[in-house]
Amino acid sequence: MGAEKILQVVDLRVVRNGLLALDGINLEMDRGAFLAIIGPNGGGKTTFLKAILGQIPAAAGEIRILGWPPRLRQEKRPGAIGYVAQRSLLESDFPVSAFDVAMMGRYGRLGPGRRAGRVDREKARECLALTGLAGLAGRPFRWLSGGQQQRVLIARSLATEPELLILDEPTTGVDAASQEEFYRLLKKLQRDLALSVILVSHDISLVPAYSDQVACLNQRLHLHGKPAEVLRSEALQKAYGCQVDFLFHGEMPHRVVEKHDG
Amino acid sequence: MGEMLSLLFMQRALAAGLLVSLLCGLLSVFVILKRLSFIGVGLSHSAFAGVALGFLLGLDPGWTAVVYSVLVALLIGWIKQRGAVPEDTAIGIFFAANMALGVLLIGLSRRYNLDLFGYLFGNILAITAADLRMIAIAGAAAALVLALFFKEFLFGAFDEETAAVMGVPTAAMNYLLLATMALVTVLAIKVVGIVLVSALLVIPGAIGRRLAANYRGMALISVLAGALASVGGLLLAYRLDLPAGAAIVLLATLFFGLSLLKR
Repeated sequence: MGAEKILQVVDLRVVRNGLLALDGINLEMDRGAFLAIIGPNGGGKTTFLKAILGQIPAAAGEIRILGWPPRLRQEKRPGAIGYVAQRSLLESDFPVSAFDVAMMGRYGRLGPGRRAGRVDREKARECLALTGLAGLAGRPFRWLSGGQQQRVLIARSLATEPELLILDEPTTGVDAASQEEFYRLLKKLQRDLALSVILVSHDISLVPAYSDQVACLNQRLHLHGKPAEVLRSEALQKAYGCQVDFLFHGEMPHRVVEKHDG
Repeated sequence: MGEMLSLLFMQRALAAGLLVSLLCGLLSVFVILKRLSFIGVGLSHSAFAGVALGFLLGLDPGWTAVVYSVLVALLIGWIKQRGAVPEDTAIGIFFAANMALGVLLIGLSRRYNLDLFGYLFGNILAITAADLRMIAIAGAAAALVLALFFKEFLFGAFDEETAAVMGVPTAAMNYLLLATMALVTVLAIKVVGIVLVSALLVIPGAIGRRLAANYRGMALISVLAGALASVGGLLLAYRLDLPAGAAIVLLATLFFGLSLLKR
């Protein structure tokens, strides 16, 4: 069972600061799939991630990630998830090089008290190369552009040799031109390394085109299915509420999906 | 110089100053990167209550201060973890409450011949062989913790949430770092005193941060700056008959001022 589904969520309810943040969430994700979680800001996307990662408890329901309850997963499979957090949380002028950041991806797997060795350094270099940064390994992290920093963080999440990659609003602070390039890189890495990917974004114009499954979250899970079905649905409008008027004013979301289907 | 070094108390003072500044220099990297300066102030002032407790119970005040400060550090970590009260509020309360508790306990112990000034501002020239032994033992423990868990502390300082998701036991590491900080703080009190201790925890790392682009260079500069300030300050104090703790801290401050000249 655990081998087939990388993530299973049954009747999940999460309460934060006394308020119902998520309720009645049911979701399954196949191993090797690319799941996009979209929804308006404040709709509980990050809360959902924190719940499946075991950082906040579920008030009700059940979660299995990599076959384990979230807290137990941290213990049993410490290096199995690569994670790219929202960039706003980062100390961006921290005194480390791109290589140092990629090396951090090895630390969880190594465990406390053990020093990184040659194998770890090679892995970190290899992951920087995979994200197109081989030449920038020695460059201070703070000198890199937003897009390059983002790729360093991807390299770090790959250095842990994950089965599952989780990204929370990864294109914040990345300019529009680099965003498509970023999603293409992600898609390529997913295929080449046989990864499962969960990508959280409020961007419904671009993200669904790269995913196999789309879940639309606004306190409840409004939709869960293939990108084309989700985007054409009336229910998406319900999930987004008033924001959708703005987002759907142009033809853009439809156009992207049709291009992808064709 | 030769005459000065032949004096036993000067030898002890130099050894203590050097050991403590090396430890503080290393720890200072994380004090700066994790923004723990204010916690350092809170911890050193909490140690005062620990010292007073030692006098009241008739135990070695150095060791009671270590135990007490480590407990306070763990409590601060717990409050931080729970997030019920903002961290600076909690430390502001601890700071004053522990000073008050210290004064109260000293009052209760009826010891009025106590070298309070020495505890507050340091008395490095009065360091005994027992003090030096304690600095060496506890210092070795602190150095071991920093060496064993350096990579976890670094990842946690950079990006704690990601570190936790990717397998670093960040909560345990935070407690460990705070406890180590409490330990080093108590050792440093013997050199520069409760009031001045946070300077040794903050200034060297701040200099390293200004001058180096990488944490390795930062750690090296931090350790060197700390060692230079403590040895230099001690020599100056001996030559010019100045209070040693103050001389050390002011020399470190001068170094920091010079580091600001770099663009």
